[in-house]
Amino acid sequence: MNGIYWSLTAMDLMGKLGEMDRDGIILFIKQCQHENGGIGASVDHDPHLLYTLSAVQILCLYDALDAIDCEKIVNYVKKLQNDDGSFCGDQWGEVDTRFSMCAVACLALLGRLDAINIDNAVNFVISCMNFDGGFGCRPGSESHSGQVYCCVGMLSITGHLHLIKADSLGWWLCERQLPSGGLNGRPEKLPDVCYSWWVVASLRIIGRVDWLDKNQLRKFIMACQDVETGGFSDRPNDMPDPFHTLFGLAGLSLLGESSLKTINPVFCMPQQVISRLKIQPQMLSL
Amino acid sequence: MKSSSFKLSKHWTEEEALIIRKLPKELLLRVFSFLDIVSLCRCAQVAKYWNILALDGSNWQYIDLFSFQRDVEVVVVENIAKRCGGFLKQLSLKGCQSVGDSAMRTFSQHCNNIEDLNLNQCKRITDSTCLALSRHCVKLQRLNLSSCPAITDQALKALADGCPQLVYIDLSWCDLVSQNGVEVLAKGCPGLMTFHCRGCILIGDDALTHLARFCSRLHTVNIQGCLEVTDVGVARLARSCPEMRYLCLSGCGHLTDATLSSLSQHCPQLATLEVARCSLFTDIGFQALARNCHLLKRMDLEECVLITDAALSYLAAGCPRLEKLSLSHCELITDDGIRSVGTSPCAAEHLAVLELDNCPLITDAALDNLISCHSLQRIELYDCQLITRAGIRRLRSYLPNVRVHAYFAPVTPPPSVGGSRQRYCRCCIIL
Amino acid sequence: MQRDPSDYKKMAHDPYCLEERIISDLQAVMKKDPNLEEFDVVPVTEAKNRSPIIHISHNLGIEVWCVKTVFMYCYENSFKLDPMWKKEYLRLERYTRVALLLNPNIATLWNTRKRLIANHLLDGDCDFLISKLVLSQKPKCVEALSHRRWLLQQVSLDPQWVETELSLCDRLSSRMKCNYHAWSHRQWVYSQSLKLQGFNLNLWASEFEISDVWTKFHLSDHSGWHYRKFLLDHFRQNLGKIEQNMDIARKVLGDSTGTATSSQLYMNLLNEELQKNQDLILSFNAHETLWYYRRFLLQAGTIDHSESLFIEKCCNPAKSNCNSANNVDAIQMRYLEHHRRWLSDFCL
Repeated sequence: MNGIYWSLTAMDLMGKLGEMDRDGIILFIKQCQHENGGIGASVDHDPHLLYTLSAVQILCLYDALDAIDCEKIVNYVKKLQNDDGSFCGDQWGEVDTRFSMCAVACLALLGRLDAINIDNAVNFVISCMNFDGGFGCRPGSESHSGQVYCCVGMLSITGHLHLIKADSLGWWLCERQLPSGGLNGRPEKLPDVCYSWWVVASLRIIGRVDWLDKNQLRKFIMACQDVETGGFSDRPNDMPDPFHTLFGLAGLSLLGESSLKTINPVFCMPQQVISRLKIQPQMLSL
Repeated sequence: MKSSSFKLSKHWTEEEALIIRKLPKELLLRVFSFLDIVSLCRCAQVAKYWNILALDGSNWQYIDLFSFQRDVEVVVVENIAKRCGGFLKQLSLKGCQSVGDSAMRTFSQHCNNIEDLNLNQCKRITDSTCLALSRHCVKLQRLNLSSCPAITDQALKALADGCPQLVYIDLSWCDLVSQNGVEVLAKGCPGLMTFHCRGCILIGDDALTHLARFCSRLHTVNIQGCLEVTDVGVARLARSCPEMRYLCLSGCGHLTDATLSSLSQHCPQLATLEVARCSLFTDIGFQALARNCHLLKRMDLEECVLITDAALSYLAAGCPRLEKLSLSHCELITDDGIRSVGTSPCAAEHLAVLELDNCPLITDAALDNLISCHSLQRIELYDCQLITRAGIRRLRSYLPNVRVHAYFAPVTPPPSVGGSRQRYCRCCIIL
Repeated sequence: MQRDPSDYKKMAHDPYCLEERIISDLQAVMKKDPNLEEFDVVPVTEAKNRSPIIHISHNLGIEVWCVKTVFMYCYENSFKLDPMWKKEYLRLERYTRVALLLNPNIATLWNTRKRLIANHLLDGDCDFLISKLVLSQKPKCVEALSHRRWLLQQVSLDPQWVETELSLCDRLSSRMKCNYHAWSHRQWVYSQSLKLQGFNLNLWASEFEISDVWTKFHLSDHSGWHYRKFLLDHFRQNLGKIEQNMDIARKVLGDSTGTATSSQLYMNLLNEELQKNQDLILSFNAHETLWYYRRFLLQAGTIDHSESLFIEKCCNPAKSNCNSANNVDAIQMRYLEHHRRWLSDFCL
C-alpha cells in the first residue's frame, strides 16, 4: 500500500498520474479494507493506521473517496485514540507520534477532524517535545527528523503550531545539513535523500526553510538520481527505490523545481489536491 | 445480479417452508440427523420450528468439539449433556482444556448411553470423572484419556468396576498410572481389544503380564516409550494374544531379539510392527520374525542401528505384503539390502513407502534397484549424502508419480509474492 | 476478508515434502537448544543432499539455497490457515515462526502469533526466542521489538526479565550504531520496570554507570547520549523520592562529601558531566554528539561564566593539556560556531 502511494504521488508530481491503472488500484484498496474500517498493507494483511492513511491519500489523488466506506475509516481511527490523546497504530497497542500524524492527516483528508479529541491529541504530541525543540516517538524519546515531521505536521493540521519552539527546532533541523549538502535524520548519521523531505517539509511548515543552503541540497538530491533507471536512492550510487524517488522529487518540489507540481509540505501530496479538498493547514512565517 | 439472487433465495425459502409443513417430524429429524453440529447450530437460528428440530437430542448422537476446543467452557458441556441426554453416543472433547470434573459429572448423569468418549488433553480432569463415568455410563466402550496427567490407578479401578464393556482405552502420557491400575482394569474389562499407554513410565513387565492374563482378545497395543518393559513382558503378551495385529514397541530400549522371536512364534497375524529406537535388535531377530509373520505390512525400524542388509533380505523373502518400511538412521544398510527389498517378488506389487533418510551408505545404485516397484508412492532420502540429483532423475523417469524427498533445491523456484518488500528502506518509513 | 471454506480442503499438504522437512529440522534445533544466540542465512554454493539447517554452538544457520522456497511455502500457508480455525493452530505456529525468521518485517504474521497467544493456544516462550534470533540478524527490526513489548505486557514475567531485555538492548546497540529502536526499547523497558516495581535508585545507578562506559566507547552515538539525558531527566523528576533516601543515594552515587539535598546531588552530577564532556570535546575532534550533550547539560543546570572559559579553551587548544586537540579542524570550528549561536539564543 505504501509502495503504491509513493509511486503514485511521484507520478502525479511529474504530471503522469494518468499512466497508472486507476481502476486496478482502487479495487486493490477496496480489497484491503477490513470489517472494522482499517486498511491493511495488502490483501489479507492486518489493518494499520500507516496503510489506512496511504490508502486515503491515494484515493484523494484520484478524487475517489467514494470508492470505500469512509465512515468506517473514521470510526477505526477514532477507536485507536487513547485516553492520554496518543494513538495506537493498530489493535495491538503500540503507541508512536507517527500514528498521531497518520490519524489526524487521515481525518483531515476525510473532513472529519471532529471525530477525535484534538486537545488531548495535541497534548500528547507536545509531551514528546525535547529540550532541543525536536520530537521523538514517545515522551522522552530521542529527537528524530522523521518524528519531527510527523509532530510538526500534526500540529499544523490541528492549528497548534504556536506550541512549538520554532527557533530552536529550526536551528536543530538546519544543523542536519552536512558539508555534502545532504541532510541526515539525527546528529552524526549519514545523509539520506528521504530527509530532504522530512527536514525541509518541517522547516517549510515552521517558515524557516531559507535557513538551509538550498543549492547544496539540490545538488545532493540530483546526485542521488540513478542514471540508468531514473529512480532516486538514499545516497549517490546506491540502489534506487520508490520510497526515495518520491522523497527526492518531493524535496526538489519544495525547493522550487519548476518541472514538478507544487507539493503540500504537510500532506506530501500535490498542492492542487489539497486545495481541491479545501484543506488549509497552518503554516508559520518568520 | 442482486435482484435475481434475492428472488432465488425467496423462492428457496418458500420451497423449504413447504417441506417443513409436508413432512412428518420424524422424517424431518432424520434429515437433520445428517448435519454436523455447526450446520445444526446455524439451522437452529432460522426459525422457531427449525430450532426445535435442530436442537432435538436425537440429532446430537455424535459430537466433536475439537474445532472449538478453547471456547468450550464448562457450561457448554453441561448444556450439551442436558440437551442430548440418552441420545448421545459419541463425544469428543479433545483439547477442551476448560473442561473439568464437575462438567463431566453432570455429563455422566445425563448421558448414560455414551459409548465413545474422547477426553484427550482435558488436562483438568481427575479420577473423579472416571468415578462418575463408572457410576452412570455402563455402556462405555471406548475411552481416550491420553494426556490427562492427573489420572491415577484409582480411575482405572473405577472404570473396571463400572464399565465392563470397555474395548478401547488410551492412557498415553498419564504417567501416574502403574501396574496396579492396569491389573484391576484388565480384570474388570476382559474384553479389551485396544490398549495404548505411550509414555507411561511406570508401566513395565508386570502390567503386560496382567493384560496377558485377562485380556486375550487384545489386537492393538502401543507401549511406546515404556522404558522398563523387557523381553519377558512382551513374550507373555505375545503368548496370550494370538490376534495381535498392531504392536508399537518404539523406544523400549531394553528389548532384544528374544522379543522378535516370541512375536514370530505367537503372533502370526501381526500386520504393523513399530520398533523405532529398539537399538539392540539384530539381523537374527528379524530372521526369526520373517519366518512366521508373513502378513506384516507396515514396519518402522528407525534407528535399529545394528541391522544390516541381511535383515532386509529375510524380510524381503518372508514378508511379501510389505507396504511401508522405515529404515531411517539404519546406518549399516547398503545398496545390497535395498536390492533385496526392491527386487523381491512382491515388492513390485505392494511396496508403497520406503524411508531411507540418514542411511549414509545408500547410493544411486539403490534407486536403480527400485525401478520395478510400481506401487511406490514415496521414498525418503533426506541426508543420504551419496544420492545425487541424477540418480533421482533416473528413478523418476521409470516411476514418474513417486514423491522423492531429498535436500535438493527445487528446479523451478516458487512464484514471488511479497518478497519485494525487503527492498525498501525500512529505516525511515514514516508514511 | 471472506475466505472460501473450500480452501481448507484444497490445502491437502504433503507432510514429507522438502519444505516441511526443513521446517521440522529448524524446529528441532530450536527445541533442543533454547539458548540459541544468533541466526543467519549462510551462503553456500555446492548443492548436497544434506540438511540446510546448521547448528553450531548456540548459533542457528540456514543455507541460502532453500530460503526462497521455504519462505514462500511458509508465507503462503500462514495466510491460508485461519487462526480461529483451531485445528490448524499448530501448523500456523510452525509456518509463521519460520516465515518471520526469514522475513521479520511482515507485521501481520507477528499479529497472527499474538492472536494465538491471546487465545492461549501458544505461550510466549517461543516468541521471545524467535524475536531474539530475528534481532541477532536484523538489530533494527522494529516489528520484532514491538512484538516483545506486547509480549512483556501479556505473559507472566520471568523475574529476570529486566536484565534479559537490557542485555538484549546492549547487544543491539553495539551491533548497529545509533540504533534508535534499540534505545527506545531500553527506555521502554526501564520505564515499564518502574511502572511495575516503582522507582528504584539501584536500577537507575546501574543504568547510569552502564551508560557512562557505553558512551565513552561510542562517542558518536547520539542515541547512547540521549539515553544518558533520559536518565538524568529521570533523576530530576524523582528528586523528592531520592530526598527521602539520601543515605542510599549518596552510597550508590559514591558521594563521600556529605551532600545534604537531592537537588545538590543532581547539580553535582551535572557538573561532573560537564567536566567530563569538556575533556572529551577537547580530546576528540569533531564529535557533534558531544556538543549536543553539552547543550543538554547547560540547559539542565544553569550556565555560568565557565562556558566562556570553555569556548576560549576550544579556540586555543594549546592551552589545554590535551595534545590531540592541537589540530583544530574546520568541522570543530563549525560546531563551535553552532554552539555560540545556540548559547546566545538560549540565553535570550
